Amino acid sequence: MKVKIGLEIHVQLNTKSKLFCSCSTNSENSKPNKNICPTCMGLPGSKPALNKEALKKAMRLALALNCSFPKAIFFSRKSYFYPDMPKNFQITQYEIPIGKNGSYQLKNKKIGIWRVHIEEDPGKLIHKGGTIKTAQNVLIDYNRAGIPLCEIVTAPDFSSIEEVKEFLSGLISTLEHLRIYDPLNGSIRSDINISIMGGSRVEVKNVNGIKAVEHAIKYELSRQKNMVKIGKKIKMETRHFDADMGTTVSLRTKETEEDYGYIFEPDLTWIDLTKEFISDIKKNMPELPKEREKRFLKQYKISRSEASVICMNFRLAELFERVAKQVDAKLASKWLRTVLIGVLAYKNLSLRTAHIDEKKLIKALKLLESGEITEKTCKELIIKLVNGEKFDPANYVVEKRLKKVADKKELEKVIKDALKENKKAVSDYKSGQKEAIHYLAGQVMKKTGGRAEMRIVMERLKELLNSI
Amino acid sequence: MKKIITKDDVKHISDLARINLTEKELMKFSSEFVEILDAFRIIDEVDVKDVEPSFHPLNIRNVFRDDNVKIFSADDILSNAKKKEKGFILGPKVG
Amino acid sequence: MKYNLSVKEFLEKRKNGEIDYNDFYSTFLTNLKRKNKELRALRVISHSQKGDLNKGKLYGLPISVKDNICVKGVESCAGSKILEGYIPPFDASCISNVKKNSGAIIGKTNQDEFGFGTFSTNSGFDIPLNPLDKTRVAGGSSGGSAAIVAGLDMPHVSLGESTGGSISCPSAFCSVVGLTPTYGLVSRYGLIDYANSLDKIGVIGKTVYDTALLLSIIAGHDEKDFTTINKKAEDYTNYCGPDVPKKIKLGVPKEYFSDDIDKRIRDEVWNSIHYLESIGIDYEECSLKMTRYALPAYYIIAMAESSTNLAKFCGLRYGLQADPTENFNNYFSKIRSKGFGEEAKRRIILGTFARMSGFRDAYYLRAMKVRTLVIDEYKRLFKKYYALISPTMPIFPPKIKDVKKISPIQCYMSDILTVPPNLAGMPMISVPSSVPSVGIHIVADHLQEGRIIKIAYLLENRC
Repeated sequence: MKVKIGLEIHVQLNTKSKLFCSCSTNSENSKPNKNICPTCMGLPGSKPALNKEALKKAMRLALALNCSFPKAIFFSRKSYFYPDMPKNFQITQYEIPIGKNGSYQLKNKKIGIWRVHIEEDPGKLIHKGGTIKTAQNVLIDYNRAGIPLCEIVTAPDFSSIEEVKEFLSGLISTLEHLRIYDPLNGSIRSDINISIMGGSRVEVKNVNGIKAVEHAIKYELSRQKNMVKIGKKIKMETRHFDADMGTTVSLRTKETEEDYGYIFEPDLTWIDLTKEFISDIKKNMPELPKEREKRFLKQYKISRSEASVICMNFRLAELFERVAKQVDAKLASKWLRTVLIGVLAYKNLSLRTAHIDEKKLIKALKLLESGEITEKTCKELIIKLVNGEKFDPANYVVEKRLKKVADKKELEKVIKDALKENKKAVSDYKSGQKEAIHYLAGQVMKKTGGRAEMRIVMERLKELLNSI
Repeated sequence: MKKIITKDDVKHISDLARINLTEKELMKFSSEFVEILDAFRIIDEVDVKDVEPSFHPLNIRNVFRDDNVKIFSADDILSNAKKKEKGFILGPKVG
Repeated sequence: MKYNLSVKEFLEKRKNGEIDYNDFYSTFLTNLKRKNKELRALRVISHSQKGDLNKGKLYGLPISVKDNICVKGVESCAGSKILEGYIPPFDASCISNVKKNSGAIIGKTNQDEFGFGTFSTNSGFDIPLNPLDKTRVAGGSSGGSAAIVAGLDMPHVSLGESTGGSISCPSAFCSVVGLTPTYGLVSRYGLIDYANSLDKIGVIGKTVYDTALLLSIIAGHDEKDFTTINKKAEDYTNYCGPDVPKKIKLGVPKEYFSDDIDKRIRDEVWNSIHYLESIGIDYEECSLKMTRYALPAYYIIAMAESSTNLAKFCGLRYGLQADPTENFNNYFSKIRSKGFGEEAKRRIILGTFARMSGFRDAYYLRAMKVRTLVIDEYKRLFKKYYALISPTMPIFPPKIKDVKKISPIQCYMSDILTVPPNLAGMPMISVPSSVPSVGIHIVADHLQEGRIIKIAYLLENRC
């Protein structure tokens, strides 16, 4: 079935101050209407003042998405009425976006990027005592009004949820590598355009976060499929994503179609994107995920797929490089990419949300690297670190007597003893029940208090059993 | 360019601008607009081929602000809003 | 009357400690209140804005302010009911400059709502009266400012604002001096916008010196207004001297002396031109062919911009508000329909139309290209001419009761002489002639305020 999906993604840039005024963008202050001033409140007489850093950050993104720059830019006013709009017009870039005609390379196809532009965020509405449809009033908080947004509009080139997921995780990694987006403080909101089998396009607006995009597309695709199945025509419309229910709902149809009546923003000036300006941005471009991947292959000699996975996660990549300075890169790669991330995922955490003592993590990996602890013990240490426990890995290992049985002779004796003491298991194994080896391995582990390296035990057991 | 601007046109535009006009006002405005737009039409005579639009009378370019934070006393602003609740501004529903 | 001094005399005496300021100030307020009852020039008199009188150049000189310029803590409505109750939490930058120089802000003057008008009859509050004939309009949209400057015989200056002629027109009608500076010379931060690419804050005073003095104080770059010009500060009163510039020529645009302009006005301006000739300033007839296109281009741009500027007034956050019990579109429409006057509604609708898709190219974008041509034409003339001279207004101030008979388009057309230089952002000054309510308009190139002040001073002090 032919599926066409296009995305309009709004990313909050991580500047210190808002796009057109000096109010803080820090969302930590949860009290409403505190980060406000005459400009972002649209008080009569106030005027906008363009934040240079926001422009530079947007230019970095446009470069990373292979867009072309215009010679000069001039902002626009987009007029529409809504209670979260302090001026009932939004200062945006309509005629002249900061970047256009770019692209993003997925594993198997290229996604067209139609435009990248900057605009101001509106305020936030709370539907008092109900939902958007049932509330009697709105409560308005203008802290968010004026925060710089970078909007990315893709071509409708996605044909599956998987492609969208791949794109979005790559985009997030790119945004973090560019140092223009802070996932703890900034939001990503998307409008999704979906059509199936060449039918009408449905727009799902204001989907918050990445997981929600996945859910919204899933729901909408099945809704449209069902409509077609029962012979109904899909209406071209705008829908709203209800995150709690996981459904899309039709918004009230408007009596009059919105005409944004664009004019140029006369309180701001032309900005020339000179050769010098652009080359200065290019010179100071941080390393992008794909470039970093390539460097990892050369520098750390890890595999392409390992490098790819690590670079998809900015914090992981940063952590990996710091750890790889002190511990073997391949070991670091395996343990951070699979074990650490696995433990975090199991506890519904991420590198962003968990506060792991990095020094101790490195210590634990060093103990493993030097052969002093088993993989099992190392995992134990990592779990404790993720739990935020305060302890010293080296001391803990000594206290709990977790030092690996490294002495070959000692281990050999324990293995042979286990074989001697468990004749039934041995004969089971010899008669074809291969799982009996696990029982024997378990006995060895018991005897060593878990301090033998499982892999080595299994290997030696196999050798000895086969020679019996 | 549109030759005649009808009463329905005026109604449509006034809706866009969130202004309610009485029937009397609609009639008055639509007849006035005919006259006004007719007078404005004279700019069609001007040859504007290859002419750049001027967004300002003077060529002011490349003005920016640095990314610094300044605090403004929010209370002075909020005191102008008559309907507030727990620090939020109370507004009309959108549903 | 005590304190019937010129501004210059007042400042001298204050510098020399010859005036008891408290006595002066209370006398001033008494007179102001009495005059205001007569002329309805000020919407609000505020007497708590004195500041430190010992700093700066103004020594407590009373300054009135057009209602659309924000003064912190003083209700500022831009002449509109939709802003009734709005108390700005900040001073406009020009007001900060006035206060820094120890000017005493004494109130907000009545105006056409948001600047929409030529006679100040579109005021959402009182209509200011012309002190020369109280049955007639004071002009607009800075009518209140001109009326109180003309009507009050005490040292005082007013800050006005012009988009298409709103300083020149009322200054001419009330026979006072109105100085409109180059666009961008004075910061618009704190000015309640009419049209952002056309608005300028300027000065209305009894003499050319007064306007030059205040201009020196309010002019200058402001980081809060990105459209201000980076220019070194200047004392414009230096141009108020009797010396006649040599070997200069004034341009007399023939389109500004057409039969559409009242003959008495034309004759009076010609008297002035000949007077200047007699003291050694030549003149030459020239042509501003773009004049007839400037007016529609101006109105299209002004209305398109103002229709977006006025979108913010919707009964939320400040100003006229109600109980938000209904759907937001209905709530907004109700408040806006109640708070805006007829002319405001007219301009919002026309402005919205001019920028709608399908019409935007033909109106809004085309008008901005016409602006380029208007500016180019002025620039060509200013290569040749020191300044241009013409009447300020084509008509005498109409009677207030007759204004309702004037159709909107006829009102717009009465701006024909002031709109072109305003569209081009040129500095201009209207100086009274010897005929009441006839003003002489001097226009010069961008940032040539010195020239217009010089010529105006010479005319003002003709022997």
